[in-house]
Amino acid sequence: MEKILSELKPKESGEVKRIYGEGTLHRRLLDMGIIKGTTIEVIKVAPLGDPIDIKVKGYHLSLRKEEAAQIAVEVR
Amino acid sequence: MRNKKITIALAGNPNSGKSTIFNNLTGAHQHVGNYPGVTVEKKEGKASFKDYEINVVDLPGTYSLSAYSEDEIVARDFIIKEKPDLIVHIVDSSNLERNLYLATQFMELEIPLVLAMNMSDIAEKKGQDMDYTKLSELLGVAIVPTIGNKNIGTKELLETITKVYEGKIKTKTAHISYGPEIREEMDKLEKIVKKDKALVDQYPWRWLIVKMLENDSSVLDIVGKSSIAQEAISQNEKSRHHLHLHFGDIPETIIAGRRYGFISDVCTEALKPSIKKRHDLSDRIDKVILNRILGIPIFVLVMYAIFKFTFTFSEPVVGWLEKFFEWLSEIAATYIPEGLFQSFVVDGLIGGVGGVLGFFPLVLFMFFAIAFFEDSGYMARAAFVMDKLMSKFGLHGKSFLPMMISTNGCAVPGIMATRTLENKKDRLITMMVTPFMICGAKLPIFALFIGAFFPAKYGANIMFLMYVLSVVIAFASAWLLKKFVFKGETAHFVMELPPYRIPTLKGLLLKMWERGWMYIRKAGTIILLLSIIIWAGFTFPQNTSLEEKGMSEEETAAVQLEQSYAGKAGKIIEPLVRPIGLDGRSGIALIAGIAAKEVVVSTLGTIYSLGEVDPEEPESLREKMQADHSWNPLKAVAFLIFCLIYLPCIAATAVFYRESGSQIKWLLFLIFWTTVLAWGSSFIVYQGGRLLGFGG
Repeated sequence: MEKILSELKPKESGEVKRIYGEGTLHRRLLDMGIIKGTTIEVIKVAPLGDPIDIKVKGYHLSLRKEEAAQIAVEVR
Repeated sequence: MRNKKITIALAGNPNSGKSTIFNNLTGAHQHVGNYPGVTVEKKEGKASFKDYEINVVDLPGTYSLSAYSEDEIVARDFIIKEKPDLIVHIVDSSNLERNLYLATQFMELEIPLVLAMNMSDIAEKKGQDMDYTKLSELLGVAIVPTIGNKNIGTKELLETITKVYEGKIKTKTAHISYGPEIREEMDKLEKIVKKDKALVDQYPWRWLIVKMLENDSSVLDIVGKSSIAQEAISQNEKSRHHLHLHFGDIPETIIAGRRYGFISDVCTEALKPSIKKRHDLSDRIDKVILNRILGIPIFVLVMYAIFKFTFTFSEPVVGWLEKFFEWLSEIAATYIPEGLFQSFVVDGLIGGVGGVLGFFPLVLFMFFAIAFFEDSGYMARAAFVMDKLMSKFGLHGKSFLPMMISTNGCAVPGIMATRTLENKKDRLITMMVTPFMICGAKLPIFALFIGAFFPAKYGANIMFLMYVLSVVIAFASAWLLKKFVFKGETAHFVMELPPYRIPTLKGLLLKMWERGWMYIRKAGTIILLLSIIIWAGFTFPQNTSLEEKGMSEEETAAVQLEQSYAGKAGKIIEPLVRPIGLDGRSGIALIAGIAAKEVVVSTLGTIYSLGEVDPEEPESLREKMQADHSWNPLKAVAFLIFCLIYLPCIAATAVFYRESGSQIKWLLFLIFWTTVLAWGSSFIVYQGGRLLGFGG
């Protein structure tokens, strides 16, 4: 099922389908290894509810929900 | 004889242990500067090996060579423009794929590349079994395993650097296959770009065309200025459009995907299959540190610990320095005959140098504590925990620390603490609002006025209200800056949470010294100069006839002050401070406060003919001011609010100027912003208070 990354709950994971938008954020996400086919696992949500901590390519990355909303993932 | 000089660039991701390798290579032979016009630090050092003298340039840590941040642009420009003899890329072996992504971009630059596979011990512990020979073959670059914090592999790295430079190790850098569709478009661009000989002499052609397809703005600028500009740009647009249609996605996505695909193939071949451990220590620590309930209390505790460490440990050192400068002043006063020159040496020179050095222990201790939490990996967590709250006001999770250091502490180390912020906009906003916090030097002013004009039982409440007000003003002002001054500059929050690590003492001490020395060298000179100017403003013109009129020493001082340039300036601004309930005498005190906030109190002492009043014990001054009927509680509040907000002291202003990239425009903006805000707030309080019938 295709979902938006910001909707995922901790311990849920999915495969990157698409990154929306252009410009610097898109580039940055690519540089950080968020590319089509990569598996992303949501690890944690910050105590105040935002940002989130995800695991991608074996390391931890934090993103605001606003940024995570640009990433579509296929949840298995 | 060291007769062969070469320059190498040290590159790598943030948190790859790059500075540790830099320290290992160069020892203490390093110096820090700034790249012109930007706030990015430039670190250089010298390493000697055999008959080589190696100039090592430590580039800022970056994840990529796109033009995403100031750091990336600086790193890229250095490699492209200065053309170092060799690039050493420090790779965090325990985080291989993302680290090698940067390597794939260096491989397009046609500059010899050496990979230092750092933290190889951690990678092994994680169960990673790497075949270095195979990896070296697949990438076509020389590889040296290193363990930076144990200084293992440093010699081998130097050996490999020289051998690659001499051509004794021959490598043929692999080129990533971007696939037939992209290749076809690259060929078209290659033909066009190669027509301009000067262009491809200066820039590696492969890099140019890949970056063009990636729509990289600064490369498009470069090509746009070349002789083949029109043809190249229009072909690039066609190519990008074609690829977009073909893949159904923008070319940069495909290109990044191919790079990561290449890396993933390389890793599959070079890594021997192994059992992956499920949970590492970092994940377990994060369960506590980032815990829903404990996260924020832990954050507050860590920030408080940094504050406490900074001020508790520097206090005795600051005390010794004060004693030393007092002693020096006494000596000077004994041996130099009384008069103008003595005043210059004692009050101007020794006072100024003492003022500069007085902050030095604070800066050192604070940077030690900050370096500890930075290197251990906590600072990124701090930003993670606080981001939601801070970003609402245009601030960053890490903006909390500078403001905390400043509260009851000092804005000088506070502004310097903004170095933990990577984004320029976040840094500037934080720097501008940090001085609004009530620093230690503002406390005596509050104590004096609250003590003089309010009943003792309300004292604590009023002080508390002032603290609340300082926080409100700082946050409101950050919000306004975000809304109106930095509008449109969005800073994304895409931040790595690096694994927790134990910092090395050597690394901490070097970082502390480096940043501390920067303060002395950069800000110290300006602070000294300004203190002497302020001293002159209060000393000239001299009026020698006063003593003959039979006035006491204190009265003479009061008259002298009023007739000095600063005193006259106080008179001139009188019409400006009238609407906020103040007079020329307060004006003088406020001007004096620019030298250092506690000087407001001692200047009032001089004005009320009490001689030098110790800001810590102002009883006599308090009584004098109570007896002076031109004051009332409302005016006192207006004065305090003005003091709370107006221009920071010269030391903080000088540090602000340097830390904001030495740009006059930000300095002028700070002066404008704080003055307008201070006057406006005091005006509202004073006039509003009068309308409501307070302060008769």
